[in-house]
Amino acid sequence: MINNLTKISYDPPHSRRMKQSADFEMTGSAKKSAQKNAIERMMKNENRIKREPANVNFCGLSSPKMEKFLKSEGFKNALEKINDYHLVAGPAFALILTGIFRPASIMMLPGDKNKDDKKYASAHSIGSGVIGFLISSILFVPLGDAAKAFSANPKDFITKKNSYLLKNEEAFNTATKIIGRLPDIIGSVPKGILTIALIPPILKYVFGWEKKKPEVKEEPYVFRSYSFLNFNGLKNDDKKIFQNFMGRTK
Amino acid sequence: MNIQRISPRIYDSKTRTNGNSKNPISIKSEVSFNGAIGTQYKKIMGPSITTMAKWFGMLAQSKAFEKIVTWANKKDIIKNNLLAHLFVVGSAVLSSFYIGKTLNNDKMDKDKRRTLAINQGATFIISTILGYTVDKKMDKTVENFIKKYKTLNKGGINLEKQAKGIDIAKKLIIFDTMYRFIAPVLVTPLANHIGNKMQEKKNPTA
Repeated sequence: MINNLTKISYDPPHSRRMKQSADFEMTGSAKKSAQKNAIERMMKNENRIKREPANVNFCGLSSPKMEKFLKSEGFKNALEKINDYHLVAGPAFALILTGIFRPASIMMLPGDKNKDDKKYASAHSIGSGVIGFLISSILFVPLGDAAKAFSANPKDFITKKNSYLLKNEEAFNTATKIIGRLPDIIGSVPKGILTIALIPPILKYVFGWEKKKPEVKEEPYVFRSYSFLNFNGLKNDDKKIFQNFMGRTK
Repeated sequence: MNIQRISPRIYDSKTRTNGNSKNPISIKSEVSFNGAIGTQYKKIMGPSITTMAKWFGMLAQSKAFEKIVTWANKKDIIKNNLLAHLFVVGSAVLSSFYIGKTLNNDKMDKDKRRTLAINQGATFIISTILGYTVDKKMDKTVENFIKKYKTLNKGGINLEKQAKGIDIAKKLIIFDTMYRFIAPVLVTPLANHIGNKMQEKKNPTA
């Protein structure tokens, strides 16, 4: 609507003023050249006006490049894949977060932790993201395919003819959604166990980082001589000393 | 009531048909890879995918599952935002696992274990609340975006599927950001602080 209105007619005031000044104030060849210049400027202005104004609203995304991107086959395919394989799309996005943004934030945030601890936490984050994505890709792609097959042609997999799923479309949609996320819910605990188990070797062999144990300061060995404790010269009566020392009551 | 089929083609290892002998089945449209990888994947995984789809069918027909579906369909709050609730259920299971593991960790003393478990619980709750809040705030923007997308690609194939993809992507981005980024980077230190304060109140001498 806005585009159409702007396209209809627009005579900028400065071009009108130039036209008038060329008509009334000058004479002869000067007038002609001035008129020519004015016409040239007007033509330029017309060209400028003919350009379409930028689109005002597209959720903040308004450029023609963005429109081209939204119309592209790649974007459409990506959306379809996200719909079919959200069990893998989630960990893939999580990989970006845990692989780039979280380590960067950990390293940048001020804290009491020392640099080695921060490095370890970053590597832990990257490792967990990679493992989560790998496990999800291996386990959940076939499961996603199975869920897709089930939702695409339910009659082949629903054996009961009077099943509630075939009678009620809404129930079928809900069931499909739950089935679609079920592997993630059931698989989250084994995934967590595997992640925890695989993090130390990944840290050691892939990242080459190992958390240093706090060094225990060993006291330097000092030779102590106990030669002053000479019991050879003790007389028999002096045994009482030891009796007292052992706490014997007198 | 007829259920709308997204694709009429489906793989069946036994009959190689989808119930209608005129239309031979192809797994091509149902698997995730194309080309040579797709052919190999189809060979290896095809029967397993069919078996898993059959398991899904059996599960969906069970009485317990029917009860869950009927209950979910009755309540609008659950039905309208089912995907987000399922994300939260998945995270709740994982958080419970980690809390259980912390509480049974013999290497730590009892108080420390309890504090850590409270932290993990608090982190999950705060992240969930944040997730739902942001998801709700973004609803209108994403709806507008979907409308614009539909007008741009009017008459396109699988347009509804793509629109669903946008909605799923929105939820994935919001909840993953909350659980994987906001929680560990921002909420955990806050939860640690609350946990320590609670511990101090309980044991003022410590």
